[in-house]
Amino acid sequence: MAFEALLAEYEARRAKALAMGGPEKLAKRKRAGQLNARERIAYLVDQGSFIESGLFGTSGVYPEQADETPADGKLAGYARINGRDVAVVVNDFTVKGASTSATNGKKIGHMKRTATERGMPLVIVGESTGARLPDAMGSRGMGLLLGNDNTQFRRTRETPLATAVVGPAFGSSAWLACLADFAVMNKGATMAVSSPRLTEMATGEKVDLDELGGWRLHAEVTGLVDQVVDTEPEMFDAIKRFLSYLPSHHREPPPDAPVPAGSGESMKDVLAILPEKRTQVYDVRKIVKCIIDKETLFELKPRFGKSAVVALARLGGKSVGIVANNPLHRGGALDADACRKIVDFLVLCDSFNVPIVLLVDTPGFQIGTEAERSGAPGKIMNFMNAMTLVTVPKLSVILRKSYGRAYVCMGGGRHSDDISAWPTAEVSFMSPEFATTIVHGVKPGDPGFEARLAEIEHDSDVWGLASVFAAQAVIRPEQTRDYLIRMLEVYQLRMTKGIGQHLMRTWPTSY
Amino acid sequence: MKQNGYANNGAQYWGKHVPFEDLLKELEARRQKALAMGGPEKLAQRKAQGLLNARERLERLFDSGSFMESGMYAVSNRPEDKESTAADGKVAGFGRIAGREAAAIANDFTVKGASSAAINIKKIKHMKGVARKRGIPIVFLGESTGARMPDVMGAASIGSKDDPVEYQRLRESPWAAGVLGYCYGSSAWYAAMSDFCVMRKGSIMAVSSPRLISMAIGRQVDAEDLGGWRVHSEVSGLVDQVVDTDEQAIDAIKQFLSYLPSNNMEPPPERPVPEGSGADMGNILTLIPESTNQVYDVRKVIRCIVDRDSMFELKSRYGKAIVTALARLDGKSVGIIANNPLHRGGAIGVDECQKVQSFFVLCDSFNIPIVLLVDQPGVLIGMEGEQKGVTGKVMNWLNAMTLVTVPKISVVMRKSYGLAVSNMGGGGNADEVACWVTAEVSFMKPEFGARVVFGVSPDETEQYRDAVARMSKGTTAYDMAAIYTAHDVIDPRDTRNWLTRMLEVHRMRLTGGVGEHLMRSWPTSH
Repeated sequence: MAFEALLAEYEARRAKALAMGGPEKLAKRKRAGQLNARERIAYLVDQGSFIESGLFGTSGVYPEQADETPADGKLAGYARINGRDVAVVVNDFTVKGASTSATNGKKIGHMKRTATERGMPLVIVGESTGARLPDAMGSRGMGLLLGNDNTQFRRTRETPLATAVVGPAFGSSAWLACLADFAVMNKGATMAVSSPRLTEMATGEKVDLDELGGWRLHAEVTGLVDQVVDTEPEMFDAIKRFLSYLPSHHREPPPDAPVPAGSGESMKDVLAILPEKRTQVYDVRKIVKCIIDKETLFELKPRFGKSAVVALARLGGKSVGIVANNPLHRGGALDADACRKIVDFLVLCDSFNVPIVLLVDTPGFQIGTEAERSGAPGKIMNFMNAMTLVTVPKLSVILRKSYGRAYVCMGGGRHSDDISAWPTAEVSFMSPEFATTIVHGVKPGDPGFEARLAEIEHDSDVWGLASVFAAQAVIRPEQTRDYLIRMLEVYQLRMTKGIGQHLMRTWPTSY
Repeated sequence: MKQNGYANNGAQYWGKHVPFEDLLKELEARRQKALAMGGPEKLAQRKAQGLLNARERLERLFDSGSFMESGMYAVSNRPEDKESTAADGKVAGFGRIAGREAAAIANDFTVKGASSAAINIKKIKHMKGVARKRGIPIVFLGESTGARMPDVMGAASIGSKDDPVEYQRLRESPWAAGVLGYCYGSSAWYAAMSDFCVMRKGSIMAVSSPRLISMAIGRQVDAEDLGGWRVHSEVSGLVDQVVDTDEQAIDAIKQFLSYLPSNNMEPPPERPVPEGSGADMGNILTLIPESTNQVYDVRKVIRCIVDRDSMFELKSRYGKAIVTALARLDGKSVGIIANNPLHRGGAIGVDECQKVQSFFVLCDSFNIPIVLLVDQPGVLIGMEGEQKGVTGKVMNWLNAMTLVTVPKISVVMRKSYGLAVSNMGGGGNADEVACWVTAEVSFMKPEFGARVVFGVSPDETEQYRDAVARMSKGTTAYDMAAIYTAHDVIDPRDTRNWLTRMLEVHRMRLTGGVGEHLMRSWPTSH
């Protein structure tokens, strides 16, 4: 056969690349219950849709390492997820710990560029020891590794970026997760600047892997991770689901989905969830679930800044971003973490043309020494500033209380396009109890307190708000879903075919 | 002919005949009443405390005789408060600062604690609007108890809020704020949103007053612990400078504005180069220790390089391993970002990242070129940094760096390791990079490199020494220059001249010195 030798070489090289780090390492992963990089791609993308880019890439720093560096440790290519085109990069830990070097840095750069220029989401599955050594050592190493692409860590949100943090993720896997619109981590993974080994060397302190960068840290303390799951398949499912709410790029509206049967059926139960007494708490997620399309709640950062809930969902088949105060935690008082989480979410929704629904029940911002030390005035203003810059439709529903600056941040003062209120709504500058003390100088228990409190409470009821047209409607709670669906239609961005102005597209990716 | 009964000859006032003289008398009487602020007693009390009142503050701020008040006759919209609310507690107007037009709002604490209410909120809105539309800076001299009670109570009053861009920042023109006393509510908000915030010691800035907080949490809080100068200059980082007196605070605002253009569509103003600038360049080598393990204060190096007495440091008590300062080089404004080995050997932590990020946004939004002076061992690794989300903050910095469109010039003085090489301008992130002859660039300290790459421990003396030697190879200034990652290697004594020349080369000729401002909408706190 003509070209036999060339084709044989081709097949041999291909087989070599597909063999990754070799059978031994692959078997070890299998025993540990971990998918390898190629299995991950297979699980993540539509069957048969993957077309690889850079299969024959190998170490560019040490040509003699070509045999040990199939695909240079990072697999890249194009595929489809639910029929839509995506670019993917999946780290192959069996090849030099998927460490970053010159060739694979180029691969990531190329995928990012193509995704950005052609308008498709980029998915990165990170598992990496960090920069490859000694490749990165010396001026030359730094020059070669860093000199490739100075837009490497630039984020201007043209297309969605979703990352999985699986196993150890140091260096670029951690950096990219921080830049992402969505980061999912599995339990047992670690994300940090450097490995515990290097950290110990530098600091002399003995470090525990989980404490350094485990899921609890990033889900609860840093807020860098949006969801935590137990298994790898759950991770990839989460990424697929995240992408289902978003457009492929910022110049198109999000895709619609059929409305699941039974959506809205539990609207009638909503009053049973809301306590009649103002001081009693409840879990706002139960109310959110009643309102939105059945089983479409996709909550982000559920363990961080818990007095606010942020979630992607659908209403009448259309993607919406839900921002809801959750009285279950701190009575719904917004602290610095909750502000950060909301800001991050507003940027996501606004950048990808997802309308926002705010469900309001908050006593205000957390105040006190701890709040000030975390720079509360600054965080509150970030929230405020972000609300003024959102150009997608914003609809607020005031469920119960809404006081002070938080009233404005949650859409009051025309920060939302439309405000509706339940008859249970109560709006003022501060809680009626405090106001009574400050305005009238009487404390609870003092003679006359109750009478003055009643007066102030009366002034704070929903009718005052409606009478000055600060609420455009007062609605029965069980009508909320229908009202919102109708208002989302009214407030569609017709002039730009559903596309917002993206004034926050360059905003930082961590808060 | 005017409507409402005014006539040209003689005067008709609401149907009655009133002589001009009486009308002018009334004007003068009303003027005096407004100028009397909260009354002689309260004003005397302030004077006794050594505090300037709102009008004295404006006098200090503006060039003599240049103040034009706006809203002198505005008062509370509650009829019962009309007589007790001179200028409704916030004195606003226009004036010149060093000959340049500016707007200002000085809170008058003697009038209802300068609390915010419907009419003075309109004044602030107007001043901000003019500053934005006409491209002039705005100065907020803050001192306020917060929202006025009972004005803001009840659904109908809070519902009448109607300004959806009240707290929007797109950095069209500079904002500067003084925290001069109790600052709760809007004066805290404006301070947090400003490009520059100076705080007088003894002032308190917080979301709410200690009284309200004590009520909410059921125990007393100490005001200084809550929002004193230490909290905001050292912990929250919201405050850029701390001073002792009102006068110093206002002078700091004037100096800050001297480095900035009046708006983002023009380049910063130039100043004559003070005599003696650069005269100390010959001594620069004595400021740097020859041994790489020894530390020094990089601020001494900066002072040597920049125009004499032009260094204006921001957030000096926050994220101290980095110095950020406005300064002038050859009469032109520059923003300096320098690692300071004096603190933690210059290792970069979360606070340093936040500080640099906000400084990038400032300089880039107002067309000020950036000079980076590099001597850093990398990002501070370990538990504490990770707990504060250091990975995210390092990315914010790098992301910001790629969005900066003003010229960025980097000088590698001594060491530069790891990803932070990029943060400080390596990897193509600066427009021009020079290495001092002392420069050393690598991914990590050669000692760590030896252990990681060769697996030797410091106990195995000979192999270890050998490994360290191998890892130390190829890390010099000339290795950087050989692959053109550094564009030049320079004698440290030539730094001022090199920078001055490179800033000329990199002038933004095509846009008349104006950048693209890609971060103009960025959050105002980090």
